Amino acid sequence: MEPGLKEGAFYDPTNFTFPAGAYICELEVDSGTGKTSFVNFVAADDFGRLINPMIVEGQVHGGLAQGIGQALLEGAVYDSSGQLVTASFMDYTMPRADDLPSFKLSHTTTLCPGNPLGVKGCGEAGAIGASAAVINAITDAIGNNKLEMPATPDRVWHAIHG
Amino acid sequence: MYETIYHRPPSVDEAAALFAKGSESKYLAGGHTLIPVMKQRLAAPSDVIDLGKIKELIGIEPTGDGIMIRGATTHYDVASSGTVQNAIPALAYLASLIGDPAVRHRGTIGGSLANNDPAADYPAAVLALGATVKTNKRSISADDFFKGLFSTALDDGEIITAVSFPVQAKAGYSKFNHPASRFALTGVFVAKTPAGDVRVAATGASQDGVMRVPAIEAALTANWSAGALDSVNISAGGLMSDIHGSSDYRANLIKVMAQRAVAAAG
Repeated sequence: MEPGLKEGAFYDPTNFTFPAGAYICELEVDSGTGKTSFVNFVAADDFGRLINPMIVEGQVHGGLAQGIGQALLEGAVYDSSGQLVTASFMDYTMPRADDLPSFKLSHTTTLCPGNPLGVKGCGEAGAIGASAAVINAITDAIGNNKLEMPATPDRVWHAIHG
Repeated sequence: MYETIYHRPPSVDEAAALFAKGSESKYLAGGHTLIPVMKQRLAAPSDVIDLGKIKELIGIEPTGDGIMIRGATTHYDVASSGTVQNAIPALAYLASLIGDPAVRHRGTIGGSLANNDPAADYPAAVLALGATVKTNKRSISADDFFKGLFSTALDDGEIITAVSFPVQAKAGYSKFNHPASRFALTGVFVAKTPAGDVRVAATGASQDGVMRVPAIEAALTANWSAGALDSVNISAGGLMSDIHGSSDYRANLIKVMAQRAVAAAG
């Protein structure tokens, strides 16, 4: 065995951070085709102190695109023999700019007491809140809670017309 | 990609001669189908003969009763042509919906028709408008041209030189995009001739490629209005079913897109 030094350390902060937020989605459903289109999308978050607000907004934008993609577009599908049928972007619906609304963002600032900077995590917030807001908006619009993600036009149309 | 010999002939006759000379020749137009399958090594033509630079294959002209679009004319040129916009605005609109700007600047009407992808846009216009496909050998009516998935009446080595479209009393197109590929999940072209005949074609829907829709044609012949289709039922039999659209959903889209196409046609 080669000689050497080994050291371990464990940091246990006084408390974890708890970012919080509220997302509001307004959309329209075309009952003839099941296609959804956004009217408004507002994301309000509390990430503690924003050291670089522009980077934080970029993180939220990316997260919202992921969340909307999960809600409406993206899904890895295998056929009964185990073959991936969404193996290219001809079949897998990656969110593109024209699939997304123009986001409105706002923040409240409650400093985190658990670290000297007063900061909280923000990277995943958009992806967590957006899917729920989108699906709740669709089920509210069509009056049917039985709707799987991604809520493709085909699925929404079937949820409307049974 | 396997090795191949690339040719850029200056005329249709020379292109056809090169095709006959090669052991396994392929024509290249916009290249949106041939190049990807060559890159995946699913096609290995001995000779690739580029039709895209043949001057006699490019251009749009008015004819006595309509317009003629030459085979290697790009989607962008059709969409932005004043001649097409004036004569058959629905055809210019259809071309403006194909793919994205990069695709529209490369892809050609002849390439699209020769490939006859079951979800391509142009076959719907050619079939509904009762167009005539002209080749270096003959003229083929729209009703005789399409022969099922990726299959046409073209002989091996035959080149589409132009497509002639007669002007209609009314014409409209409505397309529902495939969410991922933006091909037509279902697109419907409706047309009414000056004599009052109605032709309706749907793309993206049938397992056999582009098709006429007799039930909608009959309803629109009796009453040219979107409301006339409210009571029409389209059967899901023979329609495609995949992760983006079940056959009953596509059957619904045929009707809804037809209604919107009629509304657009006025």
